[in-house]
Amino acid sequence: MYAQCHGACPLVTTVMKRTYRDLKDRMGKDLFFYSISVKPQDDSPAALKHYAQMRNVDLPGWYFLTGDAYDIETIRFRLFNMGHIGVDTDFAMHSGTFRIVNDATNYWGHAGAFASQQHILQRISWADPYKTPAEWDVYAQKLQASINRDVKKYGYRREF
Amino acid sequence: MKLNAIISLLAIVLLSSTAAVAQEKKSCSFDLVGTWKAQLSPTEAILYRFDSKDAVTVLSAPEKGEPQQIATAKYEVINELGKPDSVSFTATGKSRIFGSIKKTMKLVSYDDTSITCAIPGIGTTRWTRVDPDRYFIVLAARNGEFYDKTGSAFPMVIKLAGGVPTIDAFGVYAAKEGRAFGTVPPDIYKKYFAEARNDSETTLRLEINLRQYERALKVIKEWERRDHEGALLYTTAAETLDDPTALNNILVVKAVTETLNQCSEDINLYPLNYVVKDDWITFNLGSAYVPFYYFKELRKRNEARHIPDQKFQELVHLPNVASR
Repeated sequence: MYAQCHGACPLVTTVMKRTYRDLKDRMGKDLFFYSISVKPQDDSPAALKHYAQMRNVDLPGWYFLTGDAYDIETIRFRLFNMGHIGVDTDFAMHSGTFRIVNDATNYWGHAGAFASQQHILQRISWADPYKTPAEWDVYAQKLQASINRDVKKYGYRREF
Repeated sequence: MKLNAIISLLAIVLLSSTAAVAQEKKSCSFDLVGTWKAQLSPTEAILYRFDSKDAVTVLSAPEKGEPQQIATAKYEVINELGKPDSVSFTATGKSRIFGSIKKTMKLVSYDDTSITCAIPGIGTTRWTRVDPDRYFIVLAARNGEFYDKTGSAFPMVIKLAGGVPTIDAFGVYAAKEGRAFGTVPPDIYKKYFAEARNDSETTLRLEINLRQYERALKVIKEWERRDHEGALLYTTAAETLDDPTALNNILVVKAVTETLNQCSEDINLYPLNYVVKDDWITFNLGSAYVPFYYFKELRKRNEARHIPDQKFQELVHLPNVASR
């Protein structure tokens, strides 16, 4: 993203805001969002702060970052390169993905920026630490309850 | 245990570049430091020497003889909306600048080598940069050097100061052990200055200006840093499904050549943009072949500016190559 972007950036920020809302209890504790400017030469910390405030996303656990152009280019390629120079060197032909990383479990995943909310949340949950059998039981019970609600209401399981 | 798990969980959600950016506009950097010449008549010129602090020295430059100092002043570049808009002068000592003690000159336009400015009471005038040094770029590539029939391909930038060339080269080259990617050693790049001997070689030699040289050198230095720090942009074949060295080299040659036109359409560039309708090279050829055919295409497009072998050898004496 970058502060003066009027294309996809505000839309993706809205998707992240919705995701933030759903994961609010964890944000800033065991879950963090990092939005990194791809135009560090234009985006000072103050400009990004202003961007975050204008969109009501100046929130705990969500960081808007800028830095040295060399470092940001390295990060951009390492995390988002598509192995295609035409795509990787053109800001307009972006990969449109979130990177989801858990350094504790060495999990590296991604989710489409415009995928369904359910899909994005599921992808983030894949980065969670391994569950104990007891935790799996609780998770499975919650999931089953959700499936039962769907079946009762719609006659089939709606959300995957 | 639970606490540990919570603390160690670090989920990073990053957003890749999401900008619907149109074609980048031409952007020229503005730097007054150095010597500028205003040609008043075929036989009369004025030189303005700006230092890096805030002083300018004005000299008359007769057709014959040494330049004579005629004024000194302090100067300040005034920005409007983050861009240089005008330059204010305040004469120092007893001298006058543009006939006054204080004068503000409006910048009409500027590029890599010139400034057009409007001076109240004098009119619009054009200054050209005076530089005792000369700068060149050489794009050299060969086919058939390596096992896969590809070969060396690298740009070289040359600064010629006082007859002594300083050369920087970076890219894919033929080392003793085979293909290498990095800073090209002098004993290797010396072999690639000469004119192409056949169809499997290509060389393009162009004279460029100071700003173009600085930008191209900056790209080369950045890639040297990436090489030394293990921060190459493409790293593993698994990540790219292509040869990462070939992809990195395409990034190098693309960046070095495209930076020449950052300020104006000086070089007739081939659009190495991976768009099928524009770019037959990347559409038809594997990544390792792209720099060779790209350089060949640039040679074809800039044939009129290509410096012939003999003239180049007169300019750049290889025994005088300065080592960095």
